[in-house]
Amino acid sequence: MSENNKVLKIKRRITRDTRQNIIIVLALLVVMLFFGIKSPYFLKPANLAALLVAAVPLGLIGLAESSCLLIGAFDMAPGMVASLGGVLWTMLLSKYGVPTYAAFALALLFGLVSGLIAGLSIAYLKMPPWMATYALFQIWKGVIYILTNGEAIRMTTFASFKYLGQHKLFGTPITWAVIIMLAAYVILYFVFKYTKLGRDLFVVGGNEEAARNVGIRVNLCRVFVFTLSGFLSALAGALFASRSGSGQPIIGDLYAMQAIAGAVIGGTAMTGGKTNVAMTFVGVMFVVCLQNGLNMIAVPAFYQHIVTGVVLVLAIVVQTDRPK
Amino acid sequence: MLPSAQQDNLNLFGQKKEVSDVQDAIALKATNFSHGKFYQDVSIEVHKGEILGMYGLVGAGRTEFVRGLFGVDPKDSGEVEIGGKKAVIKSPRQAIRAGIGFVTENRREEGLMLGSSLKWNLSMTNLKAITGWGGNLNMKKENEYAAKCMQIFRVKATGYNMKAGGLSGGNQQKVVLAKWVMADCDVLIVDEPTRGIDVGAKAEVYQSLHQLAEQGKAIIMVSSELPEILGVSDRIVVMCEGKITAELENKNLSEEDVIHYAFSS
Repeated sequence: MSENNKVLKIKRRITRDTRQNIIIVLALLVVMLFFGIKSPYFLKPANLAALLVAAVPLGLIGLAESSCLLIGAFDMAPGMVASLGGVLWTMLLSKYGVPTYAAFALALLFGLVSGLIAGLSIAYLKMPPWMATYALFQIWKGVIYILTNGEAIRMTTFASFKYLGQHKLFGTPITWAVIIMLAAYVILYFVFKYTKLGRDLFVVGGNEEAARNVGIRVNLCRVFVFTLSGFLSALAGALFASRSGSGQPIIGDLYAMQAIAGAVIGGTAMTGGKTNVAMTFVGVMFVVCLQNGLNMIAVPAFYQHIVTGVVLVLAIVVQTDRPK
Repeated sequence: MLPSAQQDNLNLFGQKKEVSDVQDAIALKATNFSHGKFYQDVSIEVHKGEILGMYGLVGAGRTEFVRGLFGVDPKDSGEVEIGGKKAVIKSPRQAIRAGIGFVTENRREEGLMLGSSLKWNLSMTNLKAITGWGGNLNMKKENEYAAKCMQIFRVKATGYNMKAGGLSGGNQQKVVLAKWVMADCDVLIVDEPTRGIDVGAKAEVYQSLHQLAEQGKAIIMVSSELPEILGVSDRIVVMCEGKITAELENKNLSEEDVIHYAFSS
């Protein structure tokens, strides 16, 4: 009996996942330190806060992708859902005179509906997630061009519109947008880790057949995840619009890819069943720091792509599980 | 058969203590199950405290039938009564509600999350028991539950945080069995419960099946191994080419008696 107990005792040793995560956090610190040495401005609190502000859209979409990757699917649509979310908010406000926050809510509602369409077609029409969401990406792109003619909608007069993205809190560059993003992270961290809903998603991602066999509503999980993703994407776009003071038609061509990269750097498995929201945040900050830092030390744009690519490969090499 | 070999077999398959009073009540009654060319007009009855063995050659339609029964795959027709009450089963979710459990044939493909901890693998059939208000999971309860499962089923692992993929086949099978046994279903379907596992683990699997039956649960065991069917079950249903060809009381049966029906349709 005592021997049995001994066997069952949790070993408090560092698991491979933890080790990988520590390496990624250290790598982020090293990268930041490197930029800090090259450019004295990089590590100043003002710039660090600016990094957080810049990370808002990608951070929210990183969350969206983490949720999708958790059940083993991709969402390609976030970029355009974000753009259209921002455009809708600005257009409803400036052209149709809808009150600011009613228009904001409508933009978020659009994200929900877009995600719902994706989720339903994936769950019940059995479309491959990649295709379904890429189709949505294209459709929303077309809609954006039709609505805006490809031009940004400038919002010079609406103070309330800019409040979420530009009003500085406590005299720091931190804005409400940052708070909203961090709150989203905290909420989803707890949902994934400590609720039945979150566990259901992990089981669906870990083994879909097994999930169905133990009575988990797999299709409902899919719909939920994509709806969540659509909502977060639209939120990201709206907050970006508020910060930039304009509805930008094409902000998000690369968001989906960058967000997936961020999530995977943070240890989310492409095959599903494994994610850690806190580490997704680290991964997204990694991507954002790289962009910001390379600009700051004035690496020519063409070389930036190469450096980004190489660093991403290195980060993902660390995070990939290989059979020994 | 040599006496010593017989002795070995007895030890391997174990023995059930007789349970008399519950024996009569029908736990599950399935009538007229059909699905295309896979199986036609299959009807079975399982009593409480009984182990029903389903034997047949590979492709006889046994697995397809139990999958239809559990609602994993669709079926053309078929009615189920559980504990005398009619049950509509179109999905595993409904089957579980009705009190059925299903240990699938392929533990790696359909039973386990290989990349996740044993704890998660054990609790996934029983999440309700550890869920509090607002869908909040009680981690402490889950840990205790997992530790209990592993102790009862003697799962050999470094702890419940170990990943399921790192276990041996036999221990993986014990985990799959444990998660269903602990879910406390009235009828448990086990499909090839000992495929590809070592003799020691086999004996433990048989032992837990017997214990379940002693508690008054009904068990449907699908197997292609005749010694196992003969050694464990109380009654045997033989299938051939999608149809039931024989229903036999498992008393003084020889292998030939059973095999005969597996070939004739």
